[in-house]
Amino acid sequence: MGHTETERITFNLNFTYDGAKQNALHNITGSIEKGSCIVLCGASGCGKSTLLRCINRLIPDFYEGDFDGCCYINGKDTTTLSIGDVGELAASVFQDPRSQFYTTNSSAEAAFALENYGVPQEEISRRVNHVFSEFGLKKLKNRNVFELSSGERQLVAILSAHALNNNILLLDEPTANLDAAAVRELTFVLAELKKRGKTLVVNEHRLYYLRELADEFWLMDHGKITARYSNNEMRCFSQKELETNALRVLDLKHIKKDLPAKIIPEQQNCLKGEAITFSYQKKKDTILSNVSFEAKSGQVVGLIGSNGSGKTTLGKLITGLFKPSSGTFYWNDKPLTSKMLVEKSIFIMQEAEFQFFTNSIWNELLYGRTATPQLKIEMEEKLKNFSLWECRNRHPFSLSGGQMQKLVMLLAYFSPKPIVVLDEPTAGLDKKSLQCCIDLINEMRKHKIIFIITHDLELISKTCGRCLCISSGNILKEFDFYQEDEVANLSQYMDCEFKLSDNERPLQQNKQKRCCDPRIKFLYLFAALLISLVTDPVLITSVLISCLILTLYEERYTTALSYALLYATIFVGYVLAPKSILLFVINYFPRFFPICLALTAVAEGGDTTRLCAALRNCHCPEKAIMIVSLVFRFFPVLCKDLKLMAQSIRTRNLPSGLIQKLCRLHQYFENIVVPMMFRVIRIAESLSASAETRGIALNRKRDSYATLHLCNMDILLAILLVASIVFGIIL
Amino acid sequence: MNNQKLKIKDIFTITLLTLINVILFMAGSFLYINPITILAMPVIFALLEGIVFYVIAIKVPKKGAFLIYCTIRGIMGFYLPYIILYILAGVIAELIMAKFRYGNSKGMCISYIITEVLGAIGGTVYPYVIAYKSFFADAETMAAQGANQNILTAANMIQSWRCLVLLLAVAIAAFIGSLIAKSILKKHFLEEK
Repeated sequence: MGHTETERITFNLNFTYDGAKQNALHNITGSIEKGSCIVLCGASGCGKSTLLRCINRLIPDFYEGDFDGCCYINGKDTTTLSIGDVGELAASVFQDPRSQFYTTNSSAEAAFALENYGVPQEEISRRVNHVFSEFGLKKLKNRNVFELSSGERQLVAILSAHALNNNILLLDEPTANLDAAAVRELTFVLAELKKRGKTLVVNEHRLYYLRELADEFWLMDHGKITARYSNNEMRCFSQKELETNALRVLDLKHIKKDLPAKIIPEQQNCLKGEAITFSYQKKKDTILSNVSFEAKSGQVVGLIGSNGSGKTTLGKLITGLFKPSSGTFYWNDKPLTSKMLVEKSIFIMQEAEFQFFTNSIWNELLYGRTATPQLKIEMEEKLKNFSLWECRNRHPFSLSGGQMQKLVMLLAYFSPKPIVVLDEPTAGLDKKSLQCCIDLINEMRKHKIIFIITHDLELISKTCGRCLCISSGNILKEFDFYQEDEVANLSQYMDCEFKLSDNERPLQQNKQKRCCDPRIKFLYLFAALLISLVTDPVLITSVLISCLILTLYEERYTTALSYALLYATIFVGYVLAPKSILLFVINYFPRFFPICLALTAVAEGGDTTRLCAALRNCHCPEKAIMIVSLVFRFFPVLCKDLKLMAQSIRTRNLPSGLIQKLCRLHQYFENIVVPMMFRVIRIAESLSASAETRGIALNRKRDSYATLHLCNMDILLAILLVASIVFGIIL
Repeated sequence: MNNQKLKIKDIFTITLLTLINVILFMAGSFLYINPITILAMPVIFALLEGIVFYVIAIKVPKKGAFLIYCTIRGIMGFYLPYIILYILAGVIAELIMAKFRYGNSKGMCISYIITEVLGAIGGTVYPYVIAYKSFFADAETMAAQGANQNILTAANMIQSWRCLVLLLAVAIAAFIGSLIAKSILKKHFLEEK
C-alpha cells in the first residue's frame, strides 16, 4: 500500500484480540476513496466492527491485542497518532445512542469534541449553530438528551461528528435501536452529508436504507473481505443469494409474508384488556387512553408505533409491571389484578443484560425451576440450535450482544408462563440469528400468547398474525396478516404515518430562567459545607436564609418554599412541644438544608455545561471535570436502571414481596447489584471509546462552549452570603 | 495490565461503579429519619458496599483507583467531615495497596475496613457528637420532665467511649461485607476469565 497525499483511506491490517485464539482480521487490504459510501456487511462476529476500530485507532490503543499492519487516512500514518488525533481526521458514530452521549445537553454534545480539540469559543458556538440549522434540525438544539428519542439522539451524534468538519464518518450499526421514522430521517442526513463530499463507512445489518446511498458493499466473513459488490450488482441479488450470505433484505418491498398456518392449541386461553388507561402519576400526562384488545393462545400479536408511542408501556401493563390507572384485564373472562398478571406473564426487556442473575447460561435457564430430565434434554436441543451449547458454562455477561439477545429469547421460551411480551427482540441481530428467533417464536406460540414490540418488518412478516398500531396513546389501526397484501400495507403505513416527532409530549416551557453564575454557587456550597460543622443555630439560620434568597432569585419557588416550610415546621414544633426528639431534630437536620439548597442550585437540573465551564475557569484539572460531568450524566440513568432491575426481578418471579425480600435479602441484593455492575462496566467501555474518538484524552488547551459573565446580581449575591455569615458570627 | 497508569476507560469504570454505591447510600438515607437507625446506617452500609469496592479493585488494579473511589464517595456524602475522612481513607488505602501489591486480597480487606470505619466516624459519630453537645445543653433540664429515654441512651452511647463499640461493629460488618464481596466475586467475576 503506497501512501499518497490524496484524500482517501488505505489499509492493510491483521489483528487478534487479547486472549482470542483466532484472528479477528486476517490480512485485510482496502482503499476507500473520498466521497464514497462503503457498507460493511456480514454475519455477527465477522470482523466488521473490528475493521472500523482499526481505522479509528481504537485498536490497538483501546481494545488491546496483537496488531500488525498499517492504515493511512488522507496520507497520514495512523499508527503514529493517538485515538484523539485520528478522531480529528475521521469522526465515529456508535451503535447505542444511550451510552455514547457524554453530556446531558444536545448542543453541549455537539460542542464536546470541538472543546477537546481546542477550537476557540466563538468558533465552537458558530459551528454548533450551523450544524443544527444546516439540515433543518433546529428543534434538536439545546435539548435535554433524556427528553430525546433514540432516533433523535442518533441524529445528534451524527451532527456532532459533522461539526468536526472532517471528511470521513465511520458509523457502527447506527440504526440498531431505531424505528422506521428515525431511519428515514437518518438516511436523509447521511445522503446530505454524502452530497457534501463526506466519505461514509457504515457497518450494518439492516441494509434497506442504504440502497440508494451505498457505492459498494463489502461482504466480510471470518475476518476477511470475501467480496466487494457494487451497488448495482448487489441490487440484482436474489432473495436466496442474500440468504446464503447471511444478509438481510435490501428492499422492504421484497419482504414477503411467510406465516406458519394458524393453529388452534389444545388449551384455548384468552387475554382481554378493556379500556386500559395509564398515566404517570406525577406528570399527569396520559400515555395510553382507553385501549382495548383481545388475544388468544396461539396468536402472535405485533405492537408497533414510533419511538415513544407507548408500546413498551402497554407491554409492561400486560405483564403487570405497571398498574393501569383505570381499566381491567381479563383472563378467560375472569378479571385479573396486576399481581396475578405478573404470575401469568413474562416481560423480556430490550436491555438484555438486566435479565441475568446467575453465573452461567445453563444455570440461567434453570433459575427458579426444577430440573427434570425432560427439561434438560429440551434445553440441550435448543441451546444447540442457537449455537450456545459450547458456551453453556460461560457467564451470561461475557456473551456478545447477539448471544445475549438469543439467551433472553430462550428464557421466554422455557418460562412456564402463558403470556410472553418481547420488547425489540431482534435489535442488532444478523440474518441467521433473526431466523433462529423467528423459528423459536413460531414454536413458542403453540402454547402461549405472544406480544412482540418491534420496528422490524422482517420479523413481523414471518411471525405476527396480527399487528396493533399504537399512536398518541391509542390503537389506531389493526392489521390482519392472514389477509392478502397486508404486509405491503403495513410497510406503507409505517412509511407514511410514523414521524420522528410523533410522540413529542408538550415540552415543559423551558423558558430561560434566571441563573446565577456557577462560581457564586460554588461559593454558597462551600459556605454551606463549612457551617454544617458548627453548632451555632443563628449562623446556620442566616446562611439558610441567604441560600433561600439564591433559590428564589433562580425562580425555583417550590424548592425554596418547601425548605422554608420544613424549617418553620421543625422550629414551631420545637417551640410548642420541646420534647427531646424534636430537640435532636432541630440540632441535627437544619444544618443540611443549606447544603441541599446550594447543591440543587449547582446541579442546574443536571445540565453540566455551565458547571464544567466554571470548573475550567477555576483551573480545575480536566480529569476532575470529567468525573464531575460523568456523575451528573449517569446518576439519573443508574437510578432509572435500578427501577428496571426491580421490574426484571418481578417478572422472573424471583422473591419480590417484602417478607420474601427480607428472607432472601442476600440473594435479592446480589440479583440487583451484580447486573448493575456488569451494565456499568459495559457503559464505561462504550462511553469511553466514544469519548476517546472525540479527543477526551488530548492535552490541549480547552475553551468552553458555555460563556460565563459575572453580572451585578451575582456580585450582590456573593456579598449577601458574606454578610449573612458575618451576621451569624456576630450574633 | 502492564500499564500502571489510569486510562480514560479506567476512570470511567471507577466513577460509574462508585455511583452504584452512592445510589445504595442514598436509597438507604431514609434511615436518617430516626436517631436510632442513624447509628445502624454505617453498619448496614459496611455490609453492602464491599462488592463494588472489590470489583473496582479487580477491574482496575492500578494506582489511584481507591483514591478516586473514596473521593467521589466522600464528596457525594456532602458533609465536610465525611468528605475529609473519606479522602484520608483513600490515601491510606492507596498506601496499603502499594505495600501489598494491587489486587492482593488481604490488602483489599484491610483497606475496605479502614475506609468504612473512617466513613462512619465522619458520617455518623462526628455529627452525632456535635448535635449531642448542643442537645445536652438543654437535655439536662428536659430529663427531669421525662425526656425520651431512647434518644438519651443512643446519644449517651455515642458520646462516651462506647462510640468505640459502634466503630468496632462497623469494622466487623466491614469484614463480613468483604467476605460477602469475595464470594460474589468468585461466583460472577473470576470464573468469567
